[in-house]
Amino acid sequence: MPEKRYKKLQTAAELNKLLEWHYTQAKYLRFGKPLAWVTSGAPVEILRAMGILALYPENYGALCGARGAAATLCAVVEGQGYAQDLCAYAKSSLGAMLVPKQAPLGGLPRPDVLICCNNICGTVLKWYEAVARFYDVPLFLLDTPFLHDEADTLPPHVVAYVLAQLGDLIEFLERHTRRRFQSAKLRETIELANQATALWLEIRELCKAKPSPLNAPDLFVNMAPVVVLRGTRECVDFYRRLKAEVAQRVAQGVGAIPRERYRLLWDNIAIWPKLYRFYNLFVDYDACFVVDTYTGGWSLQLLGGDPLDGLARTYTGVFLNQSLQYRARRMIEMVEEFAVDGFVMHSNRSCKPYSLGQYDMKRLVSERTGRPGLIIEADHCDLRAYAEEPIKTRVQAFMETMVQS
Amino acid sequence: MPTDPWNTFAAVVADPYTGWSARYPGQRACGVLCTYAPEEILHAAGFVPVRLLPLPSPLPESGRGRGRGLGDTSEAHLQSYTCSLARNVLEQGLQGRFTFLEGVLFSHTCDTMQGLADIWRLNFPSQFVATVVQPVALASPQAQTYLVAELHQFIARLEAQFDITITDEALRTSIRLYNQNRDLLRQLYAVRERLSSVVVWQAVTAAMLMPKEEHNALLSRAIGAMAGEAAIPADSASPARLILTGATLDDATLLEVIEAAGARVVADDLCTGARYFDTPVAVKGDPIAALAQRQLQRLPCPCKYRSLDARAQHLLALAARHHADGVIFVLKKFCEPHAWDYPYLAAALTKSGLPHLLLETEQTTPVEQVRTRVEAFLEMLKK
Repeated sequence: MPEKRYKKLQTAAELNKLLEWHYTQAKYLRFGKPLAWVTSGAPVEILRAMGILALYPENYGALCGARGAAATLCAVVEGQGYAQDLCAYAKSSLGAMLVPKQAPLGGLPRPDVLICCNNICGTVLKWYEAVARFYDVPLFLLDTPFLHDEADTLPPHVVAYVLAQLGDLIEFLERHTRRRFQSAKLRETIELANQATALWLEIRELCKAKPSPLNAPDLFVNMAPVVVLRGTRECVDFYRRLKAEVAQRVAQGVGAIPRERYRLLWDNIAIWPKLYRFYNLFVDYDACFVVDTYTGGWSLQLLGGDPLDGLARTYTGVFLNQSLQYRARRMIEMVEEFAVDGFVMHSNRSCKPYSLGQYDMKRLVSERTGRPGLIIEADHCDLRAYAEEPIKTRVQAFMETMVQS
Repeated sequence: MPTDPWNTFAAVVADPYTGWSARYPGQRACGVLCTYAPEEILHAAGFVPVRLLPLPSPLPESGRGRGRGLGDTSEAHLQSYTCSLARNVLEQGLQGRFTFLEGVLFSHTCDTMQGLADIWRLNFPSQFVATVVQPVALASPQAQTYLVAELHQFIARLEAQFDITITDEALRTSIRLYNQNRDLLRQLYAVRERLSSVVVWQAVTAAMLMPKEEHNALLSRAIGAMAGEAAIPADSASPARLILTGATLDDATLLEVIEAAGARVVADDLCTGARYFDTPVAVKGDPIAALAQRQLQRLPCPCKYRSLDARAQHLLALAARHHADGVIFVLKKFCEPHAWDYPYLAAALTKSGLPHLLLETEQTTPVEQVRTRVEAFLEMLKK
């Protein structure tokens, strides 16, 4: 019997239950609570503090991809005039609204409000506009100006702009959901969010161990709670148990893959429909992805002081709202910190802000670290942009070079 | 006899960048990539803002640029799923076509321009590269304050970089000059039915490529000369009246096809069209506040958010005002913001009984393909 390429985490079952609860609650157990759809970079802490439930269409898009439903849903939306090259998360979510019976979980329940923060891309605005028109529900845009300049501190006028909009957001939520905002509640929620993000950061740091206790699929699967349940007690509890299990792996010298000979860094969102199959191409060469640029996006600590000011600064300064110069520098740091032998960049057709500039970043990171890089052209959801054989050949060629050097 | 203004515009658009400095001696140029660029500020700083466009023009003799050396092409920097505007403009930069520019100003618009700005900064290290990050939430009560501060920051950067002082008086002079240009372009559009659409497109596009003072003088003379002229005869008794909507129109192919088929463009909602010159800047009060205010009040592009139906309302009003028979969507392949707006705009037009056509374009779209689609659309309009 061939050796299993994946060591399943014991917390996996718990993770599934937690996510199932998350979706079920929003659909069937709301008890009158208002429901918001929010983008992955929205300051959800404010909503939670007001007792508003939040669902993440991006997470749902990933789910559609992982379950192989994205292609069908995208085709439905393309039939309505949406171009084939638009984000497959967005199209999967719109497809699920049009044909919920063909969609995982029967689609997401109708939102009462939409909260869109453009700190991750401009696409989310267009996506949420389409959702707002479809359901005829109010949309709030939180506009976080992109940071082209690598400054040590955020420009004051940018912070002031975002902070003022957070006030508008609270007013918007109070008006449309009839929930009251309380500062004390927000502090509690931020405290819970900080506990979860700190644990998630510690878990990621544990991957500096050799062998690494986690591989990319583990990181991608286990990031879900810190994205969609950040600010809840359940989220903190989950990461406590996950951290204990990961720490135990490290203590016992147990790696995520059977034999770790090469340590790699991953850039961009996962190829969800091929999550295991794709990374297994590397496991065949004893290569483990010990760190990535994506799942760390939710390990930022909300800054102290005035909670709204902290939220404004944190959500404006996220990885994807910063220049490619900044992102290259972070990658270079990760290469050093995690003792990485090479890096793989997913040129993700669905995600231009994440992918444009990768060709230059690959050169920069290689020049600075001496580590080889590989770029894979694919998509986070849509398998029509995934050419199985050419990808396999490229991965093999990259790994053969590494083996020989 | 003075040169014919229309010929000058045509010549500028046919080859805008080659020999720019020789054509406008003593002028300094700064590239811009969007109609949201605060051109008055650049002008007050002593520059001519020059729009970088994927216009078809002859290759420069030497392929040496300020980029990473010979043979460096845009494919080495941008994925194949990037729009032709970004790819072509970077290509021209790498070929050395933009060495006459002392700087390049990006205006944060879409995800692609965001990426291109950083790529540019990295690959043209000796060039002054800046971005004014425009607010997206146009209706936000805070957008004006933010944009004023962002513009002040840009002014401070220009002043430090070029060792200059940009005074309010200089800004007011530039604002007047640009308002005059906007007013002339508005007059041009008012008489556009007496002109070929190609000529109109050349005139408005040339406005983005040459010194404003000169463009104003030429356009003023051209419009003045039209007084008393009769309308150009149409090929058919009642030509179909069309509106074009989209991003930039990068060549005249579509316009030529439309006119050859006996139809006429009566209005547009394009970056190289009405969206360039709509809404004047207030001349009273603080000039920076006035510039910011115009950006927030302009006809929105799809990268900006004012309300869920602002663009549809505008398109329908435009169609009603100009008695349009149909609308053509000119959609650059991989242009996400416009691709996202297409289904909802198309649905709004359909609901109002206004026929429309989607034309997807690439850097070089075969003319036969355009002709077939446009002719079929015009046939449909007749029925």
